[in-house]
Amino acid sequence: MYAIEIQNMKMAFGRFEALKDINLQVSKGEFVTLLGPSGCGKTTLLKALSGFLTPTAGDIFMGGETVTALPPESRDTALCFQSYALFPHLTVKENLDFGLRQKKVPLAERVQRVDRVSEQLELGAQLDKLPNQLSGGQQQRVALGRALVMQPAVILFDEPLSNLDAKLRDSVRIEIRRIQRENNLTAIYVTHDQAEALSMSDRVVVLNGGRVEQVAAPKEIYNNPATSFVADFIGSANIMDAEVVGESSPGQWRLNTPLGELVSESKSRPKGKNIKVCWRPEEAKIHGTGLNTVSSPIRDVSFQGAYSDLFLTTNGCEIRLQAREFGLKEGDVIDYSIPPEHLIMLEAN
Amino acid sequence: MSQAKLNKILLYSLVAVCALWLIIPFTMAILWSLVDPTKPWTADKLLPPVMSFYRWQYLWENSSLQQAMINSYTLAPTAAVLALVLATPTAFAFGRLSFPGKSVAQTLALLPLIVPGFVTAVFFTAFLFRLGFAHWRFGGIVLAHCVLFMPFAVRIMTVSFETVRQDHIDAARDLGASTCQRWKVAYLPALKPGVFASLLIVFIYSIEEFAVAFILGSPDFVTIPTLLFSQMGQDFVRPNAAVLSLILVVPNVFLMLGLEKLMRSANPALASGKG
Repeated sequence: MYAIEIQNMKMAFGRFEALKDINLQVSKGEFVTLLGPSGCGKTTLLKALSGFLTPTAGDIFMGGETVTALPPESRDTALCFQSYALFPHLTVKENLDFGLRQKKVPLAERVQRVDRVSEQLELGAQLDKLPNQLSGGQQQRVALGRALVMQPAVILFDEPLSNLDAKLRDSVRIEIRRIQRENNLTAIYVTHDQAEALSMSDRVVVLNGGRVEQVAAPKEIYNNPATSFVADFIGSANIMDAEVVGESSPGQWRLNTPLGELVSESKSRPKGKNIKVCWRPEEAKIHGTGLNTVSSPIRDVSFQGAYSDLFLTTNGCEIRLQAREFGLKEGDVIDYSIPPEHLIMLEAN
Repeated sequence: MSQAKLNKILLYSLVAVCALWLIIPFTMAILWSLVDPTKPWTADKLLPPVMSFYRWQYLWENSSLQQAMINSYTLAPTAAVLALVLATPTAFAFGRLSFPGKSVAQTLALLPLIVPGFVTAVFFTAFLFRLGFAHWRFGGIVLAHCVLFMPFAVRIMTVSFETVRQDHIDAARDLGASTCQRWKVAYLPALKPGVFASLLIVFIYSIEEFAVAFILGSPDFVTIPTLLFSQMGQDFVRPNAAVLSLILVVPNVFLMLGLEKLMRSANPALASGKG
């Protein structure tokens, strides 16, 4: 039984389809991130899970039971708002206690649960303060605590770190993950920040234009993107058109690309005759030889600290490479090779 | 001259001007109210030659002042509360909902403010007489004040409803709050200052209103302003008018200060924009 199961869900606002045919299963204790550019439907999906929006079609199940028609106040979910949405006239303690009071939890248990959460989040010293007396990071923790204290079946995060500065973001990120693991919570986390998604999640759902592009573990998403959108959105990638010439030996596909004939190693068959292929800038071997070697002049060099970005134009194709060698300069002609296992065949053109 | 010094000078001169603005009329009113009838206060004297509380005592005992005060101080709070109650649903619609023709409706709701008070009074009272309010003057005046001053309440409450944050409402719902609890935790704290402001404004306008109260109320239903005007009208007794205007204005000042304090304490956190 899944903690969350979404079946063929659609969401339309008038003639605009925000979500098109979403299917997703989330297991208990899993941390799943919804990742995509703004307008991709990730927040809409989160609102459908929390109950603020009712799907136009399809069903949502939680713990095996349908919740599609349940309003937010009757769902066993707790949402961490991007804006924190702390009640400004209530103290931290009253904020934490608010949900428990609504659910008519007995007083003794309320006190115990608030104590436990405030201890877990180190809010003990702030309990009698008003939210506006706290720093941004502390407010974020109160918002998290207010959701945690409910011990919900599913905890939902709506870009919770976007209002924090970079340093604080890292520590709160680690904290959220720790608490999620400790409490074995099922978590859905919305973000547009790929670093957040890759570092926190058990699985990442990449959304684009209301559709699921790929659902996979972070490493899989990065190393084996399913579509050119995923390849481009997460990290940087060189994406090219390619024509499949044939299978030279089992799992070795010969491709005609703007860089010449290249070989891609893949267990699965290409999705058509004309496809897109991609490879990561850091996977190419500078001064490589043998299979998939390309020779090209460097157009531009940009020093990044630990490495340099090299920009090349090969047969009208813009290529980006990462080099740990810092002697290269504009105009130098270099050879680089793309390992066949890192030349990934994507969708048909 | 440094910026800080200039600021300080400007601030002090502003305070001084404001103080004069208030102090001169108040002092004059107080002095006039203390003029003893035995010796008139002529223009050649800086202060009244003889001062006593004769005028205060006389008006208290010999005019309909007591009845006027009772009337005014029941009328104004009733009108204030009624206007607030009637304005709230409209303000909710203006502040929280979107519907076709909203901006037109908002303009229409403010329209009563631009018609001169006396014009409205003359014809609105005719309408009220027709409705049968000739026999219930208190009700007629309350209703009229409500209609006249409701635009202020609508405007103030609309702004208040706009400041209610949707994420607070959503958060309350998400945590399982009932409709009633949602109002209490998300709406009320944001509305409180608006409620106080709206009550205060309608109260002050109602207590000072003359035209409607005079046309509908005369001759037997007196309020402080109608009494004041009649004191000035018949034989223009300036000391008597001074007593009445002080009676009219002093409670307002205290009310204003008191409510100002309440409003400030209503929601310290909302004002900061955080949380």
